[in-house]
Amino acid sequence: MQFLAFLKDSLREARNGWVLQAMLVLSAILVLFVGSISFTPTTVAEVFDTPLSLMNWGFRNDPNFTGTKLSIEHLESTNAQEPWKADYQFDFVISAAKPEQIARLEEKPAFPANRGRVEKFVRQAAPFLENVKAKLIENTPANERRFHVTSQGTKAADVTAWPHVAKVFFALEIPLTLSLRAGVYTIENYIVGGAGAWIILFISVIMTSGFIPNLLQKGSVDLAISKPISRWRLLVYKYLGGLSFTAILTTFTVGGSWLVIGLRTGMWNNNFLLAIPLILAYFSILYAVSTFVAVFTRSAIVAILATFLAWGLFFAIGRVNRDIEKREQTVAEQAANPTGPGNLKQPQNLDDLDEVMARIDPDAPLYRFFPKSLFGVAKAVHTISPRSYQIDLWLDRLIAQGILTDEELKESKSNTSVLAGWLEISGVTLGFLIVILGLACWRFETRSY
Amino acid sequence: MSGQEPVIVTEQLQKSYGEVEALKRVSLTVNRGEIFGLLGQNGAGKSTLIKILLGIVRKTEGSATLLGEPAGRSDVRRRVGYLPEDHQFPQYHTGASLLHFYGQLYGMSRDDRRRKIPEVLETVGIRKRMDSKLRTYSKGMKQRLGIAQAIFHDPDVIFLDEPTDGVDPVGRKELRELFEKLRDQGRTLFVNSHLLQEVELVCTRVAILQRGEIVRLGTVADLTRQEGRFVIGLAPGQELPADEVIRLGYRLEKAGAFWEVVVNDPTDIDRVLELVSARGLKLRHLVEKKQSLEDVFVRETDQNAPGTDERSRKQRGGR
Repeated sequence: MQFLAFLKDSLREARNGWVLQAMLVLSAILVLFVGSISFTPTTVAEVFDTPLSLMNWGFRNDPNFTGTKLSIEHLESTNAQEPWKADYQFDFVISAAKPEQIARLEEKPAFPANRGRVEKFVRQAAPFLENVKAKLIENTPANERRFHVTSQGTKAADVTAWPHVAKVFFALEIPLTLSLRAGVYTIENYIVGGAGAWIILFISVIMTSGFIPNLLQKGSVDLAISKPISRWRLLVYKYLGGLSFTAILTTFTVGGSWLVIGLRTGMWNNNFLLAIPLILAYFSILYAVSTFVAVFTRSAIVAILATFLAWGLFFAIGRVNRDIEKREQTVAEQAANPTGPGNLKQPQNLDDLDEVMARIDPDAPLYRFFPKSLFGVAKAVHTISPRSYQIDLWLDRLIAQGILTDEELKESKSNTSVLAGWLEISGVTLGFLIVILGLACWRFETRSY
Repeated sequence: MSGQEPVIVTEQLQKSYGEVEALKRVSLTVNRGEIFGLLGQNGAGKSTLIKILLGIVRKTEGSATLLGEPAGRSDVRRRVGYLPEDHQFPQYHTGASLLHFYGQLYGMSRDDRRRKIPEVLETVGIRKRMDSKLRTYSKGMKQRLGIAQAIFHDPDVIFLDEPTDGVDPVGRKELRELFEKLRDQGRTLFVNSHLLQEVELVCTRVAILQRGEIVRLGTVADLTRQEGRFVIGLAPGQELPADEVIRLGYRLEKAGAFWEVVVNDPTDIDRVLELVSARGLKLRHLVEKKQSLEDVFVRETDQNAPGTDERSRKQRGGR
């Protein structure tokens, strides 16, 4: 009964000043925004629109190619109702004002002006088409090249793998073609599970930071302690009350988004619902820090600043540890199967760069400044730190696993991170919570007010 | 009143904040059914004593028991009500919701709470505002609510720290009646107050705390009695033969139109009256003088700096 009383009281406190209501309205806006996103299966013609438009725009701005234009003509499909099951044929046409412009285009090595390059271009622009063949059509005017392109079957097993055009706010088209699965993954992982979750956490840290200092202010703490409840229970119940605030926000946002995404797309990614406990677990770490600092300082401002500092610190510790583990993995791989300097891959991002560096010099500093001699210290610090960073990675992976195919998972790299097991994550995080809340309770128990 | 069943007992109770001794070996006993008043200037240690009994402040040495259990135990607090000085109720509550919250902490059932909350708010005179947010309450209403939350779970012992603070005179009278009613129900009230007249009117026993020490302890009647001090008034134009009274061995002070005679024993006043009669003087006024609790308190504390429990600079021999 006492626990329920505190939960109710915490929600009453959160409702005070309309902040909870304002947050729920913000969440509702996010859910509405998600609900405003629609996906329409694209046609092959639409798929080629963007690359062709870009290339034609380039011709218009190049005096050497005035009047030159690329187009798709005579497009035919064997199954208009279910485009992902169809075979396609169309003409890929290069028309120019003068024959010599065609000749100049043929000289450009990357330009789709011969059979092989046209096939390559079509495969790149419409990677879902299978068995793409192109054939030059003879006897066309000198200022035109025409290729007849055919495809048999598609890589899309169903509509969810077929490229879709997305619209936001019910009408605004986004110039990006994604499979329905990739689109839903983007919404769930980046819009709700990413930006939405960060906003929820940020606001929750600020909102709940006053709960404990309010309890501990003179005139209030006396009343609370004089009630028949032990001090540690009082503090733990207040802590859980703060979590309940975030639980409501998270459930409303994630649950609402899950519902509207399912209704709009027919894709019910149940893994996405795991974002609720994971975001809550993430917040439980931050709020434990806030509670700890508040008991010692009785200041909401100090609690907020310390929590944000700890948030950044835990992120950095988790990130550095992950990169050290990746480094060790790469060094072990390199030792087992040496990759020669000529076979190193072209770095696409910082992760790739570090992998290449590790293969060249296993003792190279991480990020070019973090020396190998500190790897042990970083790992030791990580051992006792809560696993907020890993929780974040797991959220990404679980959402991806719930919706993407194995091939898509590889492409998204969601499955490639070195992730700790659940036992380690929950064990260390729980241990951290027990220690830090235990210290807070000890301080609260022994202090005179 | 049930008499001599002790409900609050402290023995050699001490509390130190670093080098500052807030309580110095305080020993007192409060019995069931008493209204016990604790007086003292600001910083004398009154609130500290209550807070130790409730477990809000940890004692340094000595012992304190409440209802037979070591002070501070949470299960004992179930039988205790407390109104702190300068209390801060959460402003997001209404009067009723605050009592619902506290009632849940005391383990009261919903039905009990629903029944008792209007009753107790009626008792303290704020029932009509029970559904208003506390931020709209005046100071006096908050004080009444504070008393309501201290008594509505039917506690055996009620600690009231400055209970009439901010309450108007009519309200104070109502509260006095309430305290007496609670006492008649066998409850024990422990009252800290600056309002000495209130304490004098309602308390059965009083202690004066000064610089952490109990300097006076007894019933109000004991503390205010001034044995052997009489005020004498004679017919207009007549003068008391002061020299002769002094020769009898008594002290004499002129107080306006009256004389205050201090005798060794109350019966000695008869000798003074005989002298008056022998001199043909006509007695118009004779009262055995009692002092007010305020007089006692002021006398006990007049060596302190005004408004504090610190010795004045003069007393400390400062410049």
